[in-house]
Amino acid sequence: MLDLSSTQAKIGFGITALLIGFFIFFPVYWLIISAFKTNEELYRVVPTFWPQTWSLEHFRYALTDGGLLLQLGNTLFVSLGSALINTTMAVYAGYSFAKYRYIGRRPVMLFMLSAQMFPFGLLLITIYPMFTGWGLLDTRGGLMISYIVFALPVATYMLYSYFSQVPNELIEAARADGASDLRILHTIVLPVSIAPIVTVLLYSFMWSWNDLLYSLTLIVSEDKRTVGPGILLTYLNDSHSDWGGAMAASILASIPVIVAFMGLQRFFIEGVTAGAVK
Amino acid sequence: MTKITQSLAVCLAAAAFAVPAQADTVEFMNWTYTEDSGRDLIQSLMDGYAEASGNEVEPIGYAWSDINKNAFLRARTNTLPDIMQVQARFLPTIANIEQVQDLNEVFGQETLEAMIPASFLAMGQVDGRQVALPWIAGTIGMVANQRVLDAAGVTEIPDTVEEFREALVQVRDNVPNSVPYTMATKNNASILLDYLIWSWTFGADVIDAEGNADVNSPEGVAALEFMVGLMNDRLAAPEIDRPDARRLFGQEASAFYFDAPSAKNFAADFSGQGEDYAVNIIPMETPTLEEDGTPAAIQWGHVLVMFNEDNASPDSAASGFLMNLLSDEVLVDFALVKGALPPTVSGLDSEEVKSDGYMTAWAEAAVAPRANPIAPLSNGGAISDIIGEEVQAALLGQKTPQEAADDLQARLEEALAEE
Amino acid sequence: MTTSVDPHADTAPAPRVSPDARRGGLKAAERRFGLLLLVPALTAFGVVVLFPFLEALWLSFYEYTIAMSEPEWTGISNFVDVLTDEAVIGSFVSTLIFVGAATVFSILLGLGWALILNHPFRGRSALRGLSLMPWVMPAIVAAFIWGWIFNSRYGLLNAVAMEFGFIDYPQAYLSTPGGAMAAVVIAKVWLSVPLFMAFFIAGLQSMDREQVEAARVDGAGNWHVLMHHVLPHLRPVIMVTVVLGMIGNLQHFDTIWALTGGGPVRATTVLSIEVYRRAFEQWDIGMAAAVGVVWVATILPPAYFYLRQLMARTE
Repeated sequence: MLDLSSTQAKIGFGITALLIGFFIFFPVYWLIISAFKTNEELYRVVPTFWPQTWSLEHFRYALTDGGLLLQLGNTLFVSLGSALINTTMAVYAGYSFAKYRYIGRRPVMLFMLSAQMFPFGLLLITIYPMFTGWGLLDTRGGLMISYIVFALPVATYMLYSYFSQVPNELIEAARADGASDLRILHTIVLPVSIAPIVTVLLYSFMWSWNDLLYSLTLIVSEDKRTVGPGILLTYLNDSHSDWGGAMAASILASIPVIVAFMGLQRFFIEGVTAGAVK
Repeated sequence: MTKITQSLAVCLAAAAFAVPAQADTVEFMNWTYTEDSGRDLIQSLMDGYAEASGNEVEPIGYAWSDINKNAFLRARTNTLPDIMQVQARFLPTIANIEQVQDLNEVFGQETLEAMIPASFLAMGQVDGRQVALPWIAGTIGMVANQRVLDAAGVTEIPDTVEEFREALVQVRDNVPNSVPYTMATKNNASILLDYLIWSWTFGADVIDAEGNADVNSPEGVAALEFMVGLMNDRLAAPEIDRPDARRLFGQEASAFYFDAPSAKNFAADFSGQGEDYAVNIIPMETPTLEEDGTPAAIQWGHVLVMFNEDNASPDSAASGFLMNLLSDEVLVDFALVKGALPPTVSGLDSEEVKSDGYMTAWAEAAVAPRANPIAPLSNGGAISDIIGEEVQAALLGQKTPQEAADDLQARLEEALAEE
Repeated sequence: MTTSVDPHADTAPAPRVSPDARRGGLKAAERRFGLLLLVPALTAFGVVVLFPFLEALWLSFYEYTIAMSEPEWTGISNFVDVLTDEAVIGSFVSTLIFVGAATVFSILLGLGWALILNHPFRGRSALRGLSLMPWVMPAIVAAFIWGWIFNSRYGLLNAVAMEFGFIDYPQAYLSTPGGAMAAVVIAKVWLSVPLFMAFFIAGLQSMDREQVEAARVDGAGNWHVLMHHVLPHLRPVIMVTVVLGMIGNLQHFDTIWALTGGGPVRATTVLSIEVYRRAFEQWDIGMAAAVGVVWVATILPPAYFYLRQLMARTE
């Protein structure tokens, strides 16, 4: 797309790349080397940009004493579960909005999206008693359900805009062959929509993965705690702060997700705008 | 056939009655359990009671900063625990919850008065009701780190505000990269405590006995000017909250700060040297304007609240657990480990407490602690934010001390009128 | 699954007799099916979003503090308080600055990085994957890292600036209103760039290269191509990222809370912080709800028109 044959263009490209790259990767670099530093080196006023002694102490602690593996399991379970629930509902709703015409279709959709602007913290005031009544408080299932708040409307919208471009002829042809609408969706539309579906899965997964506000409130028991609150309570709380431990724990917690992202990247990058680009 | 069923039913019923009363579960909501240093401690308290009584104790742990929010949400849903640990200064807020039990009615006022000295019993009273019992008690006062003082060449613990300032200058000049006094400058709730103590030291009440604001009197402005002066001379620093102060203090980058007696434990933790480090932590009298003045300190403590009417009998499992926590064998060790006093008559009288040098020194340094005047207000949270914001504006140079004091006076008068 | 329909069957289903009749009958059935597909999502939405939202709306007309067991009707007094409170007005301004700046810079940097990663070079694919890392880190750690960088004592920025002699004493960036706002915006942009980059990379891949080649033959430079070909092509992507950015930034809470707690004084007290403080620090649910409702009332009209336009373009 860009023509880099001139020196000027090369320099401009190079400088921009370095600046943005530095912005994105320097904090990541800092996080990684900090996790390997000893405490003594970590809290020095003049920081070192390369560990003088490499120490695995923080990782050892995170893996053995910090309860990280349990929390990671909980987080993956809840985030994957909520991503699946969200995506499934969003597939049907998005398809409905895109391919069927009925009164109130647009207002309902607009309303769903607009409601995303209302402070999530306030919704908690009602969700909490509701969950208590249903026995969902302090359960992973409850947390999973609460994450519908974060991602369902946008997920629905993303899939709606993708399904809108699936040619009507494809559907009509299948219909003419007598296939039921549900069957058309499942066997004809979904197979060509893998990329946007993966995208929406990842999008809702990340909302749950990064949440602190809901998980800190809706989960009490230690054995159900997720990574974010876990790191906060174990390493960065009011009475104790262990920076190296926090860094090591977050690196370990990120590894499975990074690996999954690398694998799904192709779908993700294809899918992200498959819907948005007409 | 019917006969057999009938007799079977009778047998079953008899069996059901023969079984000893089912063990009760006491839900104990607290934050100490979520702290690395406190988990084992609380676990052993709970195990101890379970073993002695046959009842179970289930811990409900929330972080300190999250526990009030959750008490409130639980009150809305009738899922309050049986017993809850409450920071004494938040008790008036928690006491608003309907399910809070008046412990005079549970245990009898006389029993409690015989068990706990009146001054400590008062920690758990709101509007004439005994809504809580004191668990561990102490004051918020000043601590000094002996090793930092040595490094700076400060030989005597400062007595007056003037000497305090001189000591700070010595620390600044001799200990590189230090924050001589880690005054709270970031978080509203923390700023409040430092501000109260200095205001009292300079003779301003902040909120007087009649409930009026007293912050822009000459004394009030002088206190704020003193605090701002420390900032300007780099004797205190921006971006310090209590946890930062604890870390810097433990890492020997700060000589003085205000905290509860648990300061000792935090310093031990952050120094990386463990309990041995505690000898370096000196509880001291807050510097005063004149020699022989009364040093300012704030009452501090954790209290225990009981919820739910079902628990309101001395025989309930919750009552049993509460009394177990306050029994000498359990309480004295716990309080001393937390660096605080056991607030029962027999606990205070115990050999361990009397022979604990740190606690004795702490008690001597805090002769006349005052209650936090913001705590009993129904809109205490909002008022604490107002004070924090205006004081911070002065400390960061956004307003002059006089402007900040005037604005604070006006905002407090408005907020107190709403109270 | 074995019920196949024979297209050559003489006895065609009734609706086939007249095309019009078929359309009418099927349309109704289709519509019903379409609505049926909505049921799960709408139910979930109704329960976890709409109902709580309506209850908050209801509570905004009540005084409801921790001291009260039941909310007490106060009419519009909460709204009067909210709209006359300078502090609340201030938090609206902070919110506009934060959301505006964070959205604009996330899109600019995301687009810039996407253009760079769209250029073929060795290791590009790995770099794309690694670029998602900020997004994948637990958000609390992101706040912590940036807090560390700007910290007045152990901060990297200070260490570097002092090393080069730009400053004599460590500066407390987070204690100036501008510095604190810049810090929370930077931290949020760092978190958002990966997502936006992915959007733009995808958008760039569907570009018509021949058209660009043709423009090049006509002598168009990089700037011209960017302004007249790339940006118009990406317009729909940009419109979507604006919506996602606005929602994400408006709701953003964790890193601001951890970095500045809304301070110094009130400089970074954006809406989400203000609501949280009122609800969970001051125990004033009625007022918290009123702030939220005023906010939605403010944002809804522009959001509505924007979203409507977006939908019109999609269909």
